[in-house]
Amino acid sequence: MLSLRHLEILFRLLLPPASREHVLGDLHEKCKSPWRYFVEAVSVLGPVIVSRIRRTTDLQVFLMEAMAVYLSFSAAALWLGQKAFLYDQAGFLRLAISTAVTVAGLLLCNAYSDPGKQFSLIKPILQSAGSLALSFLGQAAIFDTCASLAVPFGIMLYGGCISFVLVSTLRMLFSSVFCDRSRVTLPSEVRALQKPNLIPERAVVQQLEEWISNVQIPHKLNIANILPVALLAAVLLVATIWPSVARVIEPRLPHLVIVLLVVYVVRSRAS
Amino acid sequence: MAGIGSIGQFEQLVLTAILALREDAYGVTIHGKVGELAQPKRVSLGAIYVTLDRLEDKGFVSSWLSDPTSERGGRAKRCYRLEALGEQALRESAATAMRVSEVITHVFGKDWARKWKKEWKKEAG
Repeated sequence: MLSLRHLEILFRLLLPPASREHVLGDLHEKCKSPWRYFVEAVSVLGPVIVSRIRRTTDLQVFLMEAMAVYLSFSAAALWLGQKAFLYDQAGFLRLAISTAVTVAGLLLCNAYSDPGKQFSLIKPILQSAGSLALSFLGQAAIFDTCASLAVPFGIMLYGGCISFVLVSTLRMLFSSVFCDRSRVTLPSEVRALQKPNLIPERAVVQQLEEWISNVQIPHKLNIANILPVALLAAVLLVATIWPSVARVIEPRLPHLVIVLLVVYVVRSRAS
Repeated sequence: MAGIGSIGQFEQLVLTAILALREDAYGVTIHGKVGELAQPKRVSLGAIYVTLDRLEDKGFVSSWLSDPTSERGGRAKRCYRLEALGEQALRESAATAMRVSEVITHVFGKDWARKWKKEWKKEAG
């Protein structure tokens, strides 16, 4: 039987970072026995994740991402000359399944992103890569259970690469959408001013809260941040149009990605 | 309802709980108070969190993290406060509830309303 401490560690991992602190505190205060803690934590987990998804997901960006992923897989299928797969073997439905898994991964990434951390270029890249990895895992599971619904590996690979670039770029362009202001914490001296009958002080506190949340969130597009990905997208586009260029670039693509990441990390550390 | 967006029954309960608890409104206390108000229905803690998030998005309540305490295993509370919009929404829904009650009393008669009140009190313990 797990002890209270072990359960806390387990649910600390499962809860989204933005809700972790107060939900774990509430559970600790409310439940003294491990069984009660487990039952209460399990009942809380689902609603908290759904609520985080609702709060962190912008419908327009979500639809853009879903479209980007689906079109990437479809384009990859057409590019590889798999017309029979698309039209005769329920290809569009099969691609929709892998798109749904990728998009579900992206939604979970939104919910589990830590709003307390500063925005960085690595975050959207990791989120896109993680959700595509989930999609590949999903395909492996489908291949094992119902192979007729699986997508050929070539389409998954090329479609995954294109959607990785597109989704990462989208997430960088709309970075402010993925930030959440719910973790703004004021110092205790400032919070002491929050008496309901002192209206001017409340106004000052609200102003401060707004100021702090504005400081944390990058509202403007940072061209320097999206430049490396734009460069990568341009290289891939050129490689798609001219096969001779693709033959030169293809073996060096992983090196290019690593160099871009290193340049970004060095630049962000320096700033 | 005029002006601000309308609120559901559960949202009314949560806003009332925050109003009643004043500075001591956080997850556990709000859950306890809503449980009292919603009797005999049972309320889950998850539903409270979802509703609090929704009310915060609507601008009806605001929240902040308090300092960590040992009774909570060194974790902070997320405290909630009713905002002007929330107060207005609660006032509007209370007025609606009163109008509904008046109509019911008018149709069924005052004796029936008194009997009804007694039954409520019995149910609430």
